[in-house]
Amino acid sequence: MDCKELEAMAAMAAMALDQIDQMLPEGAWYTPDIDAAYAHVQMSMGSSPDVILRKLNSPACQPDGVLLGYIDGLVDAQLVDSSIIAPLLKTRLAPSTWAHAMLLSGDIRPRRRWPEILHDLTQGRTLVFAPGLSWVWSIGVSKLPQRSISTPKTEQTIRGPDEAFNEVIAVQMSQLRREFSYPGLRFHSITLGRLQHTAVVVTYLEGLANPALIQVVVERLEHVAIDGRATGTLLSGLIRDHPRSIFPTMRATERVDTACHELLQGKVLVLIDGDPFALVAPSPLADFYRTALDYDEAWYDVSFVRVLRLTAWAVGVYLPALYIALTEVNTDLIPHSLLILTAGNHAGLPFPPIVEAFLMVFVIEVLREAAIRLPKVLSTTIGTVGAIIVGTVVVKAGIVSPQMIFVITLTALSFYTVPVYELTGTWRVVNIMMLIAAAIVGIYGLVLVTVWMIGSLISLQSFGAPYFEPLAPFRLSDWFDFLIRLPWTLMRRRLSDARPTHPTMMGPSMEEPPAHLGRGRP
Amino acid sequence: MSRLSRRIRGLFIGGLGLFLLTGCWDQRAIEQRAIVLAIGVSADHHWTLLFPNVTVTASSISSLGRSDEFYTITAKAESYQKALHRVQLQASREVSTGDVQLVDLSARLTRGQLARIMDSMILTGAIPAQVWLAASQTSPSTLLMHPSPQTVVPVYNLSSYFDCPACHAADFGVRAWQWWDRAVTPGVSPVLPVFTETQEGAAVYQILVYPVQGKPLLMPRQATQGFAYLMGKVKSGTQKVNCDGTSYMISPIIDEATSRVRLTPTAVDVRIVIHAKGEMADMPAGLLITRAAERAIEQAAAARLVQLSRLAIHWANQTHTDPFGYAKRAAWLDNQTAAAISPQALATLPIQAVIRAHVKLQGEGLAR
Repeated sequence: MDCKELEAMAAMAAMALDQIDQMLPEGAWYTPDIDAAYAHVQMSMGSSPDVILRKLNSPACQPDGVLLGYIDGLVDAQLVDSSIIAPLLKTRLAPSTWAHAMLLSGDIRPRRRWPEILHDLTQGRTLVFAPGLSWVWSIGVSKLPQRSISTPKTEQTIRGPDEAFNEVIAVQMSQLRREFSYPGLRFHSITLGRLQHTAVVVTYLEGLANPALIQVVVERLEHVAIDGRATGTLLSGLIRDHPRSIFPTMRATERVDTACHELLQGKVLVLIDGDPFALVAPSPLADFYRTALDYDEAWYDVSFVRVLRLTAWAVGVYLPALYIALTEVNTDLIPHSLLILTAGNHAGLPFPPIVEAFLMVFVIEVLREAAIRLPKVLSTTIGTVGAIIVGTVVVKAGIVSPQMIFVITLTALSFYTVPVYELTGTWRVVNIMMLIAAAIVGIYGLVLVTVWMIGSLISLQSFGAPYFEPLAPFRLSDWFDFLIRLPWTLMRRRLSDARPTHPTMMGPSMEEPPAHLGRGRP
Repeated sequence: MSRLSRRIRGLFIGGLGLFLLTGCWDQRAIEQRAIVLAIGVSADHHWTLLFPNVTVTASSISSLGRSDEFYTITAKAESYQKALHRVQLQASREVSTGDVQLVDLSARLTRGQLARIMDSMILTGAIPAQVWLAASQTSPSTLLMHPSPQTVVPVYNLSSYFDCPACHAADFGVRAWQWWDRAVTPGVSPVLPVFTETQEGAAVYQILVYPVQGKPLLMPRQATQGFAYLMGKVKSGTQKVNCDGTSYMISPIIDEATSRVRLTPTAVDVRIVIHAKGEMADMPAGLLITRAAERAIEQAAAARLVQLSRLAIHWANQTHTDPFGYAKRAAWLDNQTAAAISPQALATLPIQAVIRAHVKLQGEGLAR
């Protein structure tokens, strides 16, 4: 049985549970009757073959015995046998003392209400019903199927730690715990979803994260009312500022080291069960251009790469539109030699440059989509075939000029220098807007769209942090980790966007530094 | 109407206005334009417009023949606007003059005719003000298509001639705005470089000076050299100097000229100091140059520069012109005296010049 089937089963069970829950009056209490409980569980869960209800003849509960209930596949069968069934078959202790004296599990809870009991059952816990006991023992022996911890797929690096979250929230929390080993690491759990229950955990460092920020994140999550399927994208779309804006105001990361870095900046993470991407709040635009590698490489190399990223952004957003503006409208602005060669390249072509541009954008997007959907072996082939088509055949067929191939290829490559994937789509939209404006009114159109873009960026916020900082508002202290990243010896302050309670992260500078950090040393 | 509807309507109208009021609607795409690189105007008002071959690409350049690189369309018209219109009738694309690099004018066109041509070009607003102006004694249509082995399309050889001032002995390039400025300013006779066809393309050895009245005057070659030294335009000059019966070649010469002017009711007094520097490019083999010999050569070279400069001044006085603009500067400095002289007469005043030259030899260069 694979993970998807289990998820489907769990969803069905949760749905049925909720239906029962709606039918029951408020506060439907469990009554200590084994046969009634058996009937109740059967009625609630239906005739599902994975729901195991087994009566055991325990010496402590003669002559009625005890009722054991669990869902096959969600529990560790060996643990159920050794820690629950075997002791039950031998014990003569009173059922009320089993949690302390008999059952061999660390996670045992008494449950008195049927909704709780059935919820625990669907969560993979094992239930023990004993006659005369006014509650049910709910024992945590679940063993949920999970993917092993792997390397990140969307945020790769060449140096430093390379560990990604997986889908199980308990594992996500344990990964963070292991990284911190600090009691101030707090997990605030919230269950979302009316039909499909999803555990969501607000994570922060107590004493560092701003309490107002934590409160805002928790409040927004508590106001989420959905049936189910709480993924990172969905939750981000529901709790972020400006949910209809094309600019993402909440970042997601699958890297554990990035998550730790964000926590150390005083930010708040939202871990979601079933989604290996943790959401980060707040996330100003500059945050989308900070990668894990930026903190694992030499400061000068990182600074160079960041400037390169900015240049690539400008190329990706402006180059095709600039080419269209200069060839369709403002031809007088091109150096005359380039103008003559460009005109020569377009001689005999059936389409104007704007049609060529849209055609090539379409080809690139189709190739990209095909490469994502196909298996890796085939995607490589598609990429090669696509490159041949784009590079040679389209030009030789007289459909697109060679200059347009250069422009669109450089643009496509530039887009992929954006470290966070969701921003790529945003810049693609801006790029299309620029193209249309440039085709109609040339350079003036580029200026118009740029003014709109800057206006939008300045007006946005992310959980109280200005989205366009440190540019607007200008915050000099955050520039030290913006276009350039200063050497570690100079980076003593945290970024100000999360308004952490302690702004410094490296303590005061030493009055008498060690020799290797002394005055005059580079 | 709700606030949202009003806001949407306002945004729509504002956005529409921003797009409709751009002034870009008459622009043509690159494939619909015929790019004019040069314009030639003959004395009998034949207008020749030079276009690059429309199929020029980086890969096709090497396969194009010399005669295929450019083509011309000629029309006879009294004015620039009419000429453009008639050329447009013969062209299948929109004639685009935004990239004109050179206007070649017949040496027989008078100052007045030239001024009218320039005014009409400026009025259209489509020709860049920094376009080079030149004159030719042969037919402009022939000169424009005169091939050069030194450049290849998309570079146009006649305009690239002026794009590299240090590549020639003197920088004689005149831009359209400069000519227009001098033409409307009293006290200066505007000049144009004159192209002479050569096997290597075309070259400038002389200038054409436009007096207040009458036809333009061609300055002799040696006087043109003197003009270049007086105006500090020599960038890579060469002078042969005789000193104590021995011939020396100084090259490259770079000069700077400073002058002090004073206006009198009957003349313009000028004191000019030319500072030139150069290297000894050629001298007799085995000759040992001493410091004294070097000074003697410097003095001989300076005397030669003074001689050439005097030739230029003399020619200007003979022709009643002032291509140097000394009278203009003098009038600006002494407007009381200038008020008594008519603007037309200002540039015809005789120039009384005291010229000194200093030449500094910076070494023996390749001659060592």
